[in-house]
Amino acid sequence: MNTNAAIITVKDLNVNFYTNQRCNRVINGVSFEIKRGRTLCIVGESGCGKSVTANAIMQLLPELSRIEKGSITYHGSDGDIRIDQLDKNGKEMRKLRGKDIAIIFQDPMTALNPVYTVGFQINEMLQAHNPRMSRKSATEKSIDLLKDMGIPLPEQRVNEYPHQFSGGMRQRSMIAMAMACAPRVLLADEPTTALDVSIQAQIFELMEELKTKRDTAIMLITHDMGVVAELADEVAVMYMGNIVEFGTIEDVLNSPAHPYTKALLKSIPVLGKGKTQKLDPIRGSTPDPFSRPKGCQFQPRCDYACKECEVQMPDETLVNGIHRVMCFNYLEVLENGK
Amino acid sequence: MVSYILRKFLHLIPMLFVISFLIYLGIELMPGDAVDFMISPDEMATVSAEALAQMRSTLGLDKPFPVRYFIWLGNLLRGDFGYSLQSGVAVSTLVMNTLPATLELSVAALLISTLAGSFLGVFSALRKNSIADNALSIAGMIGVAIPQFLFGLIAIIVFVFNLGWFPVGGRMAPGQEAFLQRFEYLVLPAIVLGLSMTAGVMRYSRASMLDSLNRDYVKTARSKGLPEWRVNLVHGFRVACTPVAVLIGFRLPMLIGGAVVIEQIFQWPGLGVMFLGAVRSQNTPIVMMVGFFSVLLVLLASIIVDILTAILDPRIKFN
Ligand SMILES: Nc1ncnc2c1ncn2[C@@H]1O[C@H](COP(=O)(O)OP(=O)(O)OP(=O)(O)O)[C@@H](O)[C@H]1O
Ligand SMILES: [Mg+2]
Repeated sequence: MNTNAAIITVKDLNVNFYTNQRCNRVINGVSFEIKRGRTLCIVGESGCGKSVTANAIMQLLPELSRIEKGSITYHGSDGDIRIDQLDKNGKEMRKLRGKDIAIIFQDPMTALNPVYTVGFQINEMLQAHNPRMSRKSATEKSIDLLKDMGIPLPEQRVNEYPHQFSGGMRQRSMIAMAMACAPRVLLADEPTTALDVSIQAQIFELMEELKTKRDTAIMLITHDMGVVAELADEVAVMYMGNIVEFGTIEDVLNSPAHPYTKALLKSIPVLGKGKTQKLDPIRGSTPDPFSRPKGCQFQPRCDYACKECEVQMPDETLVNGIHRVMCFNYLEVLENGK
Repeated sequence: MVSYILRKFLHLIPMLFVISFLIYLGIELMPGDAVDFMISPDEMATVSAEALAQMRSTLGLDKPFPVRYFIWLGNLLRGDFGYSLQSGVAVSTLVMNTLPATLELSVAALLISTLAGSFLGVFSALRKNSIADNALSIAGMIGVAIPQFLFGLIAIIVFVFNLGWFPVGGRMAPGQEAFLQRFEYLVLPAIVLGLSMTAGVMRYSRASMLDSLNRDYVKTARSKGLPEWRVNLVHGFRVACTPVAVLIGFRLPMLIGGAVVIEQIFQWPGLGVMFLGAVRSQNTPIVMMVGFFSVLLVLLASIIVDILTAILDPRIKFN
């Protein structure tokens, strides 16, 4: 497999929020690549900046926030495009949105407009990027897309409103919409958190298919290690706006080098181990972004913390291959095993 | 939908009874009666008690209050709205003569306030916190606070007396009945009545628009690569306009109430002028008829609101 086929390269991304007259450094220099036909999973606790990262790639950051530093590059078929330098809602950015990079949001219940039919909303996507497409052929395409996503009676459903759809069907419609223009990159922001487990499995199956059949590059955001184990090719573990550990799925699951990754792995139940398995919730809670701890952000909750950790945030260290970690004591962590 | 409207009207019947009784009672409780207003105070001394009693009995005012109410109600059910106590003209004729003027003024004001209010509100929301937005917010607050009559008087002083742009009052010059010929008479009262409602519509549509723009579906729309005007109008405004339409619908009765005031100031020969005159002279049949109309109007407004919401929001169904 060609591992160099990066479609999006994020380098040293910094995003600040200026809400409530205060500066909140939400993303502090994250770097990663999204590659063709691969799934990059971003995991981390609530509030660590996963959605902000995805929105930054789409230039969909809310008001009072901006990309402070770093670059986001889209490796398009006719050359590289620096997304971070594009005008936020300008023509070039709009051309990328939906057509080359599509996004699925966290909550399918609110992501569709309640006053338009699902068909109308998918047609809009199609017609935005194919201005010559007639409404009739757009609707036909929408029906096909809904059918592909496993929605029964698509000819009828296409004319229904979102409130007539179940949560799972709405999320499938969102995926249908996202896939309408066959984008090269799909950013999926916790696409299944709002859905029940069986539907979750179906949605992930769909995404696997996209990856293998259409070679779509996928960035999947989740806070569920079980999902990671099943879908990821590469994993980025985020904590308080940093990617504290990055590696292939084997690297991260089998030889975690960061105490946070280890703690995350310990805190989830493993299927098949039975109810006697010991679960260790991570002690303490995520710090308030406005009164961050000194030094390493994870240090107050870390079993491996040492003096140095309280002084400064450790730099990124390469463990081997693409496996990298931000921890002074990673050797100790690795040695300790799983 | 037809059955829905029929049911609404059925619900209305007990309400009409109660309200018509209350209006009747209100007139009864006012000191004096219609006869006192028909005879000037100077003449009052010279008119004999018998003559007064005679007048009262011809007008049916000698009967006790509840009896008179039920006679009025009985006539109403037979489709007879009664006659003006002073001029003897049929009330239905009087209403038909004045209603078009009031409707014309109200519809014009409604158009002005709806168009200007939602346009300015949306504009404000899209330029949130800009100088224009702040200026409009202040203007809106002033607009809500200033009483309509004061606004009307200021408009007359400035545009009629100082600038001379518009005629002093009335609805048309004698013999010039074509709409275009009497348009200049309509402009100022319609703008005054319309603008006094614009402020509320503007504030409401700004808030509604800001709320809508913060919703996820707007972000979804943007993520599809749609141009900003489409994101803001086709997605943002389309959802925001439902509550605005509801607000405007519920304010229809207020619009007519405002018309009563504005008609007085601009000598606009509408229902309002006739109504106030009738209240002053205790002309019960006219007051009752207009009161009746107002209740119907409130009901009509609520039906319009229900129909509008069902049209605008696919999640809402008639039931
Ligand atoms: N609209 C906003 N206004 C202010 N601060 C925000 C906003 N969105 C995000 N933030 C800040 O950015 C941080 C990261 O938010 P983000 O939504 O990326 O978290 P997340 O990792 O996606 O969490 P979750 O798993 O709950 O979705 C939050 O802790 C918050 O401080
Ligand atoms: Mg999120």
